[in-house]
Amino acid sequence: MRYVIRSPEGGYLNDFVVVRTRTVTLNGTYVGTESDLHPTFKANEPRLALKFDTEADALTRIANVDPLHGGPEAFKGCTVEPTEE
Amino acid sequence: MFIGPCYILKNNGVSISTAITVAQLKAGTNGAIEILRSSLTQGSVATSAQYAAALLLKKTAAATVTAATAGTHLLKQNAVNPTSDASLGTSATGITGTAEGTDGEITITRGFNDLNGAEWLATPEERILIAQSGICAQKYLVAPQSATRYSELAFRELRAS
Repeated sequence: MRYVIRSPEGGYLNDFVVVRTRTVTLNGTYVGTESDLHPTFKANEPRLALKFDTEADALTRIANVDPLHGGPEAFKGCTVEPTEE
Repeated sequence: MFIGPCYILKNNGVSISTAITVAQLKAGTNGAIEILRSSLTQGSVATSAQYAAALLLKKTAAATVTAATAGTHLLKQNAVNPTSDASLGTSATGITGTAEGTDGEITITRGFNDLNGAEWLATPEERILIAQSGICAQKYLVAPQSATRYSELAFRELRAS
């Protein structure tokens, strides 16, 4: 059994969309990039959604402590549902 | 060759200096996956050093990783692809291991210089299939020098839906 995240509007989490990417440097040396992402809930059935291995993994995703991913507000009211997959 | 959507699992710049799993992929339940390409590189050190690394190994017990995020670590090759069927989680698809689980068959190993990195591009005949719910990974087999490290694992989903 795997788990999906459902928004209050009814759509299921299907992706994160990058809205901005920045280059990260340390002492002038390139060390990577970081991106601002927003979740999208465009899957109209669980089959088309992102699947999480365990319920805990999905709940961690909803807690969304990473501000780069929109913070907890991005998942306000969302619930975790099991799938038969 | 099969027809199916392609994706990339990516570790996009994490400091690594121990022999750990860099990226781990757990196939979904709707179909097997075939591995197309695997690479390990670093972007912060100019010191020559020689290593061996598993560009592809199969896990019999999952490593503990940071769960992958779609759009950051798990990318669609094409924007029109459906959502990946990979299972996301700390014992599933993710990056940068903190506990190693159990390694199974080490399928593709390369010795390489850290200045160049390593890349394995499978010919069509040697693309390796990972069964539904199977787990594969990329891993440094010895501790590398501390550096900001990158990896990519390209795969195709042979999904029924």
